[in-house]
Amino acid sequence: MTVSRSEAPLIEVRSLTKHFRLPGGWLTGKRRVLHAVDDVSLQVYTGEALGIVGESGCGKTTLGRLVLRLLDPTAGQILFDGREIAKLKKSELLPLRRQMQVVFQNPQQSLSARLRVADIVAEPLRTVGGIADDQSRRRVLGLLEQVGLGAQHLDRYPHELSGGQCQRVAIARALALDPVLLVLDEPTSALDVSVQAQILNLLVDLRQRLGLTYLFISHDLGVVEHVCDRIAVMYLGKIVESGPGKEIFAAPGHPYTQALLGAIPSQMSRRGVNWLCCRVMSQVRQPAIWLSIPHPVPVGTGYLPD
Amino acid sequence: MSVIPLPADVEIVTGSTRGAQLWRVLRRDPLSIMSLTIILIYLLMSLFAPWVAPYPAQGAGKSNPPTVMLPPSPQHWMGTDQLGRDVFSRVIFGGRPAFIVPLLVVGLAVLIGAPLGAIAGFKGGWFDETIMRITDLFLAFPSLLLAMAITAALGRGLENAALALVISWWPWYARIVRGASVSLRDRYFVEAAHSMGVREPVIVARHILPNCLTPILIQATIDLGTVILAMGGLAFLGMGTQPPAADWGLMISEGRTSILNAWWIAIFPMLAMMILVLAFNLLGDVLRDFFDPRHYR
Amino acid sequence: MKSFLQIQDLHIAFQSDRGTVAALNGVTLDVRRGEMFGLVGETGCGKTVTGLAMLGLLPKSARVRSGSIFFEHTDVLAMSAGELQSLRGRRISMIFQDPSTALNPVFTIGSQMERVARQHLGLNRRQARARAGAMLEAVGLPDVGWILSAYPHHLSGGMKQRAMIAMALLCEPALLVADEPTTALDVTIQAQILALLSELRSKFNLTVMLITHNLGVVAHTCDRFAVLYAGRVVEIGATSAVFTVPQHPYTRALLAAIPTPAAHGKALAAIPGTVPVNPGAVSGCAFAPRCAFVFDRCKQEAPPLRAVAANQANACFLDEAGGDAG
Repeated sequence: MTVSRSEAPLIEVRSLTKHFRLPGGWLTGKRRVLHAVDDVSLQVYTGEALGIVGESGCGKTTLGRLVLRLLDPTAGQILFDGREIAKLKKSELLPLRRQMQVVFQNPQQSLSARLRVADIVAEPLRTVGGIADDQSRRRVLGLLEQVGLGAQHLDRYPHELSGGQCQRVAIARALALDPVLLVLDEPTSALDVSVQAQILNLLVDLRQRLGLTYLFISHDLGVVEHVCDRIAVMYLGKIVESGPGKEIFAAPGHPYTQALLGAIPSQMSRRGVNWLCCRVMSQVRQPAIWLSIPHPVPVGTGYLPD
Repeated sequence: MSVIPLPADVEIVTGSTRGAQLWRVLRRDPLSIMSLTIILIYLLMSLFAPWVAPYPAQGAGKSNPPTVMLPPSPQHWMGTDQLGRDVFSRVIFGGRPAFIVPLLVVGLAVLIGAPLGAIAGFKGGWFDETIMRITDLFLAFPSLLLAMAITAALGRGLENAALALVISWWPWYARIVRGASVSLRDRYFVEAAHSMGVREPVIVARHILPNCLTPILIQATIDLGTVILAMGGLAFLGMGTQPPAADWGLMISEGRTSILNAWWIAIFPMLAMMILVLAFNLLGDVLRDFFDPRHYR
Repeated sequence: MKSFLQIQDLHIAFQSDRGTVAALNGVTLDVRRGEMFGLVGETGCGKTVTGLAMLGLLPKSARVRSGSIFFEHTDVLAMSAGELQSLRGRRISMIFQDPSTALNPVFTIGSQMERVARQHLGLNRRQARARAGAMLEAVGLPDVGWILSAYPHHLSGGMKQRAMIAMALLCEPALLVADEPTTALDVTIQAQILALLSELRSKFNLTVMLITHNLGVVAHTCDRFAVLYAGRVVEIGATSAVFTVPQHPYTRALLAAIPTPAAHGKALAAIPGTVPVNPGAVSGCAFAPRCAFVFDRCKQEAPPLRAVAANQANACFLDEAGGDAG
């Protein structure tokens, strides 16, 4: 699934930095700062899928939110379609919002419990797209069919749907305004393996059919590799390695990537034990490598940034 | 794909709405059914007082000298008062200011407090600070005392007493909803709405407020009992309903001088108030238990 | 001779507002002393219910309809509340997915561990504290003195799970039931915890039942495992045997659904449909509606668990009928 690259990237991030002030500390006079995203630069081309992998707290979710401008960056530039958006005001961002959409990890939590599926998917159409109610119903049905749901789901509430179905609704809502970019923040990590496979297939399929661009954030290297053309590995707020998935799997360069790869207690193919599993066995026998991995915030703060 | 929800490993996901579940719980619990029935009877009697009361004219305040201070009898179930008025009719008429008005008071307090709290929690920053400091100011005084002070300033009378209670009660709702709003602000569906470019007032109205309904409902139910008592207190002190109109608080005040020789004048309105407040408290407890996240079913 | 732990035809149902929902529909499995046994399945398959039943910790709405759980030759289901109390902690311990909710946030790690040690082992304060310290050391935690006096929120997720394991092992139980012990943790921490469990197993002569949804975890830690679907064991056997030749269509489908580098760009073999809500109401094999190899007999009777090799058994009519789905 190689995509011909247009000249300019759709998203270009230059030296993007985001610091969070940690709570507490004012008594002792020491302000502690979490470097959630630290001098990150990357490009995503139109039609491409870039995967961001890393453990919780590595800053991958923050990076996604910065690109969507749900957070204000501390420093750096974000170019969307060649336009600098890092310093735009909220009102200036509104017209851009319809071009970039997001799908979150927890499907049940990303849908308001008090709205029906029809209203959830219609919300962007009505409030942002300015489409009348009678027209939106038909459009909603089309969107639901696109993600493998149907008219029988229109009047259901999120709690009446399974996790996979909720995630399909969230994807339909994200597609409502015909975006060019989808930020997928751990879209399958709350799902069972068999359902995860359904959703991953759907995402791969949608990207091909609609020519979407993905920024796919996950802690699961296998999942990211499956969906994405290129992978960027994040560690302590920095991108430590990036490149095509195959290359990273074949020859992980950075020690952290090696650790991440080795730590997937992974996968056996239908034919038996595959090479990944052998790697895991050898890694587990050398647990020293794990203990050397520092935490971005000193232990004992009880602060989990992700 | 089929449309059946997956059962979680231990907890069984029920496909019914919270409302239907609540109704099932209420129906099974005799206490809550009883309190609901009591509240409904009170509501109907107050609304249709002129048709329900045996002596509507006396209930509204007309004195009847021939029947002064009669004890309870088949003609006058709760006896008559110093001006010869049927106490039963007065209790029914008294339900209007003593029960209907508190309903309106709590409703208004919610209407003022909830949106302010939702916006404060959602926006944060100076707006939040301002609203919360104002509520702090109100909450620093005991509600009843504050209401008395406001009534004293505005002048006696039912409307002013009700207004005073609204003024001293809305901060509670602002507080509660603000707390819920802060926790909702970072939820995914709110963030998703942001990322879709939905405008902030719409987010508050469509996503924040509806999801705060549960704590509002619980607090309002429990508060109703308290507001009924406060309203009665104001009337008792002569700051609320003015004679000759009927109000439980006022009736207790009128009856207390003759409590030794005509106990029925004060005791029946007292009972009426007690039973209603108890009903609201019971209902509030049931609701709170039901919506408590630790409540495992 | 009976196994160390033997679950026989266990049926458990939940009463809910909408009627009875069957959670387990005849779980049969055996765990041998000293092994690491995996219990694998997706959400709602009954793996946690099985774990809770072994400790007599089922919620009130659950009813055991039939079956038995023999642990060290005693039926756990026939035990009194008092007997269960002394069984839990002393002979069987359980650790849970989320260590931060399983530890009481208002007590220090030390005081929580002391209480367990004093109650079950009858130690005095000083002995209990020494024992807690020794156990924390055994699970590889540094600076034991500090951890004893620390509150749960002072520890990272991995440290908390280690502390939970230490607490579970205080009385040196024979069986440790670990319910998704690494699901809430990062992959690197997950590898540490799994390595620790293997290490503790030999050190304390411990039998571990690992409940998980992750076949990868099973593949590299368990000696034997069982696959649960809709409250029933569909396949059980030695890890090496089952992973080399998975027999049941569900096991195969699960393995095929995992994204691997080999499947890049291709569609994953997702399992169509969803898990049945009330598998007790389904006649025949519960997996039949989603199975690619379904035939008439599957819809009429439920296949029993049969041995297909010395160290492998499954519940499917497929190979009995001589069909080959390979």
